[in-house]
Amino acid sequence: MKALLDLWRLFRRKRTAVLGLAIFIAIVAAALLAPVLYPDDPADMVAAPLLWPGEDMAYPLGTDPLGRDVAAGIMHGARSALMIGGISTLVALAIGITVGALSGYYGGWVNDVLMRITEMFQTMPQFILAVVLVAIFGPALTSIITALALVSWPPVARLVRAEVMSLREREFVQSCYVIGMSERSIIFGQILPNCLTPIIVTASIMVATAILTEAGLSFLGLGDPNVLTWGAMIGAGRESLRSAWFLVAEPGLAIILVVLSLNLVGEGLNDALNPKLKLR
Amino acid sequence: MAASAPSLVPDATPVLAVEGLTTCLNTRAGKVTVVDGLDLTVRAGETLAIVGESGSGKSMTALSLMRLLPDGVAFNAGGAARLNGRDLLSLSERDMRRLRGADISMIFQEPMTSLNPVMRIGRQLMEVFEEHRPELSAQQRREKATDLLKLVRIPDPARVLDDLPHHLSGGMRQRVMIAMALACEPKLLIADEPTTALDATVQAQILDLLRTLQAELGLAIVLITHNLGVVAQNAHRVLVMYAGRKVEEAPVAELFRTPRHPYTRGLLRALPNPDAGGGREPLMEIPGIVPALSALPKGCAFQPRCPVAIDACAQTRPALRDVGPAKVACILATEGVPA
Amino acid sequence: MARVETAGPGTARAGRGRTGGGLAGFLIRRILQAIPVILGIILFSFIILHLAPGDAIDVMAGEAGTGDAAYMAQLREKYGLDQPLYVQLARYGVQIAQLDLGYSIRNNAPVRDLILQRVGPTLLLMSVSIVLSVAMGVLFGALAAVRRNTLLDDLISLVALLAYAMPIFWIGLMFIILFSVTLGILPSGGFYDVTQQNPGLLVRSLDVAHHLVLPALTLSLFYFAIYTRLMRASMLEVMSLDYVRTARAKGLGGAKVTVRHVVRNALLPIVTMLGMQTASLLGGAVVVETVFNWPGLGRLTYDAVFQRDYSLLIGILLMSSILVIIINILVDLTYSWLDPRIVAR
Repeated sequence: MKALLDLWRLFRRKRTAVLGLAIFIAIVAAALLAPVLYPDDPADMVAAPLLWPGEDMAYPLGTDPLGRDVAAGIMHGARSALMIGGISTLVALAIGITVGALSGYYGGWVNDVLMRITEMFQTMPQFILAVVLVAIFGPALTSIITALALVSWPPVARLVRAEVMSLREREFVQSCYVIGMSERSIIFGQILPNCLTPIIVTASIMVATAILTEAGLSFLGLGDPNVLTWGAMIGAGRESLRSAWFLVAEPGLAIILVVLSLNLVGEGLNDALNPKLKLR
Repeated sequence: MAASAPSLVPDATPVLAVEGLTTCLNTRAGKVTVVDGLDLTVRAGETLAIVGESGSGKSMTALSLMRLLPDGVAFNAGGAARLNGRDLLSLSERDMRRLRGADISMIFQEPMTSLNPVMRIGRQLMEVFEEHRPELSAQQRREKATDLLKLVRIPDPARVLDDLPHHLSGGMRQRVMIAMALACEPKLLIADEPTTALDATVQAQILDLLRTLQAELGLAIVLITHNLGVVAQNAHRVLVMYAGRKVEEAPVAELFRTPRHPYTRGLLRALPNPDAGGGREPLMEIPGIVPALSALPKGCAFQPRCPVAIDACAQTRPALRDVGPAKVACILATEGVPA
Repeated sequence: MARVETAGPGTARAGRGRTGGGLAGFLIRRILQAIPVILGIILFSFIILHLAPGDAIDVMAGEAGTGDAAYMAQLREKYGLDQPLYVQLARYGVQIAQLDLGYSIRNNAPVRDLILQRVGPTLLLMSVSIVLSVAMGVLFGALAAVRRNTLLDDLISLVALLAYAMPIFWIGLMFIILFSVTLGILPSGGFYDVTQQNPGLLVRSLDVAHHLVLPALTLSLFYFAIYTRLMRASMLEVMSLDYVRTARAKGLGGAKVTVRHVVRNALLPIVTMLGMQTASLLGGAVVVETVFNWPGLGRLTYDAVFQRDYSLLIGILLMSSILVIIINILVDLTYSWLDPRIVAR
């Protein structure tokens, strides 16, 4: 608790970080409130089609060619964006931390093999790989999340590996050997908690990247057809780009806000957690 | 023209005359004075050593004279520094640039990081000529650069010109730095801890080189060091700084024979072996630490650490006064036997 | 007076031997390093293809509306899909070693040919975008660093921050609205004006360039943001280094110090980042191409997705990975040119 308070004290020094956090909290609130404010299916037709924003204050962000409320879509879209971004990041962290910890701790051929695999995944263009995976395994939530996780774990693996390699040689870890601790409890109990800091910073940026990538997939028509996403809204809005560009602009602004807020939070955390960099 | 170094009697006109140099630092806590009204002079062929612990303001003095204080962090707040009569501190940046690297040069503490790692040695040397001697042809520049490397006793100079800094050892890089500083035959060389980062044998070689070059070229040198061991054989006069102020100034022999300020005595006592070239040991044996400049004690800045302090020391800041051949800022200093 | 001796051989040079075979050796090392990665990607592609629900034959049968089992078995035999997995893997490996990426049944053409037809426009789009984003990023990042904590710095940082958060395809659509729909000064898509008959090389080139403006701007904006931020940080870092102070102590003016000593060294992390971003940039090109109907690999990918042409998709994945490796080697060469220590090491 005290550590958290200290972190907050450092974090709030940076105004942009606090702004990012505020935006992020607002978006989380929007996602949570979506079913309360717009209890009906956002895919339902509720009003005249192609109302411009402000034309009818009941539909402040306008309606699409099918008479669907854009505001409802954006709020429900926040749910799917945060969920897909969050879960895929958790999966990617699990893969990345495991690979990184194993290769950093054991070194030798384990490290060689795992690092070649990591390099492989960094060589394949991430977005193309995600497209191929989703295209082949079908545009469902599980395959989308798997694909996002598969393309985003390598940086985590490299980071954890480097941290583990340096921590492994430290005294407190060495003394764990001496008292006969098992390797598993050394890795999970002693080493990993000590590289939490950079992982947290990376995770916030990863959520942002995952949201961007998912939006790209949905935009290409590779989103889960049963889930309403911002990317899909933009993809659909593209049909009426010339007549009603607000249908493209609004969900895009929503994406920008989430990604921006996560980047700002990540940057703020980085500065707060790395005292060395604070001076700049 | 010059006799052997330590016994040299300098001619009268100073190359550099500094009066009341004051330098401030912007910190979170506000403005802090790091160099406080410093006076000093150096004559041609003479070496003035500035000695003090880290934080005493000696490096800030050097950077102030070069007008290389870090932008927005530190700034000059007063005084004059006349190089052959021209006040460096009031020159325009443009005019100052013409003098920098030409009439007044500087070498730094860290030879390993003081050269651009991706530029060949020759290019870095010849850059000085491009700036200050544009009339030279490329061919002449290269010849002069080779001569300079010879001057600082670097073997195989033609080849070193095409080397990158990482091909050279620390001692060799410091020789390159010296060559660069001497390229335009400066009147004054400021050497800021030139040997601190080098090991003892290389340190001695570099100091020998500086002494020889001084004799050959009639250079005025300001040698900044925390190591009194370096001073004995390489300086004519010594200026001891503490907390941004001069606390003692004396000819080198006098200072070693009769150190009058308690701080100077502390520094001398901290020497592992006064006859050796000196090691890299920090001066830890004076109890206490240099006070934060933002919270200087009332009276004498050294008084909290001073073994002989009396009540009066905490009352007023002692002024610098003549005591025998020395200048001392200590109310207890006396002509003969130290207090 | 002390005699100054020239330094002994021990202190003369830390590492005089410039071994390592120079540039050629450096290139060979890099290519050898890439081989296991390529093999791994081939194995990975094979695994995906076989984990896929249904194969190309199912797709064909589904499209044709026939479920004739005998006919499908015959087709599978023809394409070797009835063989044990390891045999198929071996055949796949041999096939790829012969630069045969398989056959696109849907397009009735070899995958390699389909890809080679489309790689040109993608390379054009990518290279222009790389040049544009690096040039702008370096310029504005350096400017922000030199004028740090001024309004200009804040402005540049804000633009970079925003551009960094925008989905690429959205930027493209917004550009279309602004430059094509509203202002009507740039075409909203395509490679060249197809209504022009035999316009001659110069006119055609200018036309392609005209069509390239928006896609290239779109793709570069995101990377411009990355390089601007990185360049600013990198410049500030280098500006505080000892050798920059040395350069100033030589009497060099601000501009010379910045250009000769700061920028060149600050570029090193940019080039590293450029290498790391190649894969991502190629992915971005896919999206941009679908937005602007640019007839490159991205457009091909998009079509392959909807034709469920798996062998083409896998072929694209493989080829784009190899492209990434090649570009990375080129980037490393640039790096060694900027930092001669690399080859000398």
